[in-house]
Order: sequence, then C-alpha cells, then structure tokens
Amino acid sequence: MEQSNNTSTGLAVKILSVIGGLIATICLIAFLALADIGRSNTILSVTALVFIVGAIVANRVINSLFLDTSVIALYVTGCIALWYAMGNSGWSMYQAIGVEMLIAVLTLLLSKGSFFPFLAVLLFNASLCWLAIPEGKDFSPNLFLVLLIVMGAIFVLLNLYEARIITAHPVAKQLFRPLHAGYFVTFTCGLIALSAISDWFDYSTGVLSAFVWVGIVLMLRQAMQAMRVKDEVTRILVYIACFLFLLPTLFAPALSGALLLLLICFCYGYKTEMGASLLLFIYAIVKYYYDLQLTLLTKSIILFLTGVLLLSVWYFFTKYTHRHHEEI
Amino acid sequence: MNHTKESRKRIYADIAPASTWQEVDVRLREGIYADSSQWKRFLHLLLPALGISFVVSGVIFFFAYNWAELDKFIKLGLIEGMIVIAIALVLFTRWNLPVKQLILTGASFLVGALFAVYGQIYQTGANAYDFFLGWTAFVTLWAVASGYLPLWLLWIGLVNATIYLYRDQMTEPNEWQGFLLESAHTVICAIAAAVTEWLYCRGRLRSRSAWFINTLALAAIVSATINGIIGIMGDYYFYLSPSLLIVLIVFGSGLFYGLRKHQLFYMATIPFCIMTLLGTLILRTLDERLDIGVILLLGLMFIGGTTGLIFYLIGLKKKWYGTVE
Repeated sequence: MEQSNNTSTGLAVKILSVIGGLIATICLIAFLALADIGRSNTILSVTALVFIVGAIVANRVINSLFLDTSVIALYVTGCIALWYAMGNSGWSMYQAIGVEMLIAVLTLLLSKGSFFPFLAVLLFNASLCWLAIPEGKDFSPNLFLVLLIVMGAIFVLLNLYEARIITAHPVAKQLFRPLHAGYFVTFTCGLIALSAISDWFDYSTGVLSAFVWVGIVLMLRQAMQAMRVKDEVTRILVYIACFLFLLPTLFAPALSGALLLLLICFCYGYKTEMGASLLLFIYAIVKYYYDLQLTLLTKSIILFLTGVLLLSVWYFFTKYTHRHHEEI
Repeated sequence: MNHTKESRKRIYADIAPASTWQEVDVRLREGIYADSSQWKRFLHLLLPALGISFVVSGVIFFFAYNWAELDKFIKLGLIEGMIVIAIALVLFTRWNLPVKQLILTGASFLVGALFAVYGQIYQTGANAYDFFLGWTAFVTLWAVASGYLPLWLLWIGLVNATIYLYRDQMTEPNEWQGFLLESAHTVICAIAAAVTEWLYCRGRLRSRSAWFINTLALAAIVSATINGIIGIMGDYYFYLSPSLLIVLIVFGSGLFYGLRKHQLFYMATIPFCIMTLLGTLILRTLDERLDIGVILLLGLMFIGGTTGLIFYLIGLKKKWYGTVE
C-alpha cells in the first residue's frame, strides 16, 4: 500500500504544481494586462523575456520539485506575454511561431529534470499547431490533420523504439520521458479538438484514420507476439475482424485514435496515460454516436449489433484461450 | 502495475548506460511491457465491458425512440425479459465473477430504462426525483450483493442525482432545507469514502481500490469547496453556517486521517482547497477595492502557497517513505 501511495503522490504533486501554476499564471496575466506594462510593447517584451529566462535559470540552478509552480507560472506567463507583444508589434504570425518554437527548443536543450522539458514539448507542438490558423483568420483543416498525423507517428515511434532511443545517447535517455508525455498530451488534445470541431473536416479525415489503423495493427501484432499466436489463419482472422470493426470509424479518427492510445499505453506499461486514454475512448464513443445523423432507432440497432458482435468476439477469444491453455 | 514505473526507472538508471539496445529491449519486454497473461486479462475485461455497454446503450436508445406502433406490453415485456435473462445469467452460469458483475451493472442500467419506459407509457406525473429514487431503491440489493465498486459508484451517483433533483424541484430558493441539501452531496461522498477505508482496514476488502476512494474523496472535497465558495460569495450567512460547519468537519477529518494513515492524497488536495477558499475570502473582502495590487497578491499567494505545500509534501514523503522521487 505504501508503494502505491508513493507512486501516486508523485503524480499528485505534479498535478498540484500544474493547477497552482496555472491559477498563478491567470493572476499574473491579469496583472500584466491591467498594469501599465501591458501598454508598451517594448516593456512587455522585456518583461516576458525576463520571465522566460528567469524560469530557465531557476530550473537549471535549483532543479527542485517545489519550484515547479513558480517556474510554470513564470514560463507560461512569459510565453503568452511575448506572443501578445509580438502580435501587437506587427510581427507576422509565422515569425511569432518561429520565435516561440525557438524558445521551446532552447528550453528543451537547456533545462533539467523532466517537467520543464515536458513544458517545452507542449510549447513547441502548440506553436506548430498554430500554423493551421494562418494569420489567425482561417482554419486549415488539412494542415491540422497533417500535423496530427506527424505527432501521432512520433508518439508511436517513441514507444516502438524506446530501447534504441534510451541507449543511443545520455541526453536522449534524459529527454525520453518528457518527449513521451508531451507527445501523448499533444496527440490527445489534438484528437479532442478534432472530435469537438468535426464539422470543419471533410473526407480527408480518412487519411488520418488510415495512419491510426496502421498503428493499431502494429499493436495487435505486439499483442499476438506476447500471447504467442503463431497460427497464420488466426492472425489473418484477427486483422480482418479488427478492420471490420474499424471500418465504420473511417471518418471519425478520434475514436480509432483513442483506441490506439489505449492499446499503446497498456502495451508499454503507462498506467496514468492508460487511465486518460480510457476516458478519451469513452468520450470518443459517446461523441461518435451523438454526431451520427441517424434516427434513434437506427442508432439503437447499430449499438445493439456492435455489442453482440463484441460479445461474440469475446466468446471466441475465451474459447481460443481455453484451447490454447489445454494444448500447453 | 505500480511496480512498473519503479522498474522502468531502474532500467533507465542502472541497465541502459552499460547495455546494448537489444539487452535493454529484452529487459523492458520482461519487466515492463504487457505479457501474455496481462493481455489476456485486459481483453477478457475490455471485450465484455464494451459488449455489454453497447447492448445496454442500444436498448436504451431503442426505448428513447418511443416507437408508437409498439404495444406497451411488448415494450415493458422486452425490457423486463432482458433484466430476467441478465439475472438468470448471473445466478445460473459458471462464468467468472468479473463477467457476472459486469452483467449485473448492465442490468442496473436496464432498471433505469424500465422506469423511464413506465413513465413514458403511463404519464404518471411523478417528479424527476421519484424516477431516480425508484431506480436507486431497486438496484440497492444488487450493489450490496455484488460488492462491485463501479456498481457502487453508479448507486452513489443515483443517490446524489435524487437529492439534487429533490432540492431543485421541492425546495424554495434561499430556504435552509435547500442549503442543507446542497451539503448532502459532500456528506454522502465523504461517508462512502470513509466506509470504504474502514472496510479495507477491517480486512473486508482484498485491496484498497485507491481509484474508488480517491474519486469519492475528491468529489466530497470539491463539493465542500464549491459550497464554501458559494457561502463566502453569497449573502446568506445564517443559512449557510451549517454548510460551512460541514466543510470544516470534512476538511478536518480528511487532514486528521491523512496524517494518521500516511495518505498524502488528502494532505495535497485539502490544503489546496483551503487556499482556494482563502483566495475567495480575499476577493470577497476586497471586492470594493479590487485593483491590480489585489490580483498580484492573489497570484503571489497561489505561487507561494502551492510551493510551500509541495515543500511540505516532499518533507512528509521523505519522512513516511524515505524518498523524495
């Protein structure tokens, strides 16, 4: 029980740091907005840079858990204030994105511990996603999908090549966990955004689904390897069944994406991320059926049949595992 | 899987620096990645859980469609038949316990659908809270018999929904009954968390089920904080004094238990909520003179308070578990 408390406390401290940091950020931003500092772009830029550099220096000099709140508050306030100051000074959106990405890369290289690099990954990916809103006017769904595919692919590759990455270089080993957590959060947020504004997207979401399905097939391969399924016919049947289940979600990649995250986090032993993926999966299922332009009767038939099919798969899976167990 | 993280840390720190990637890969596969039995357990839980959820949702959607041509006896008969089949499967099959518990949870949702269909057909004129009260009463035995925590969570949710709707429909605004019933959510969740902890301490539960206790405790703490904020920001001090007393009792008991049983969860959440209440009190006190100085003061209070709290938690962790990681 003590072990369990010990592990969950680390997470509780991190969540506390983030919530405390974000509330403090809101207060600091409100302060900057109301104070005279916000009226002069030069003073605002200098203040923002002081905040960012101060946070990085504090992280390097005193790399301690209890400083996380102050560091988060200073860093996030600094980045937002700088973004605002650049926009007001007539910088183009691409220049501002470039500056924020540069700050993220420098933070990633200069910071210590795992929390600050994680923030840097989030800043980098958030800036990258801003590219999908050129000049802050129109939203470009296709570019957003491409970015989401890239982020999802990076997350899958990080998991597949964990051993190679952490043995390649000490810096890679040090940055692996922040990168993993950062890409998990970004991909998850991307899927939520995709699901929330699904009306903006057309049939091009099918491309993202295709990539996600490749990821799911890779996870199924891992599962079958672990369960020592060697029979070719069984393997092919599993892939066909999976394809048939996923086919109706071709234009709802948030659902298959959530399933992919759930499988990855279970397969590679990330308990906290698995809990978050499960919640995302439930949300994606509810949203999928809510958005279907069908009558309640048709929806009920689809839901009922899907349930019966899943229970049939479970029945055959139980039979298979029993038979396999007896053979051993 | 809690040992997993520690093992991963050990592999990263001790094994990775002096090994090839193939050796590290083998260690990760053996110690951290899901093995055959874990995959089987996962699929044996995921597939029936999804299957039953989809079937039950299908049934609920079917009755929500309110098919006019369908006779009322067929409507009620269908749903009652499904409940009977579900209970028969639980009682007369040799399926394993988790599957039976899942079926019972599915049947509990069908009871809700049955009450809804009954109300739809006969237009009884009952209040919404009557519906939830009936649903709660009729699944109580199953929750007790199964001892299944997700089913208990549903039951506690139903009790809270009943009270919320009763307060909404049966009490006048700004009446003392309404204020007291607002605190009922806090009391119910706190009692449920305390009873679960007590059952675990008495050896009646095999494991502590931290997710269940923490969910209930968090619900109690958050609802107490919301009541506290309403109390501070509102003008009904007389009516709200019992609510504020409940907040004090819940927070005090949580801190006492956390210190006694070395539960850092309570030591992290309750002081943070107290800090939030303090911030609200500052806002309320200075709302006539709200300026940038007050906003800066609040920001600094949250930075200082959270930093101090984390410092304290790290100290407790070191004292109780001998680690700061």
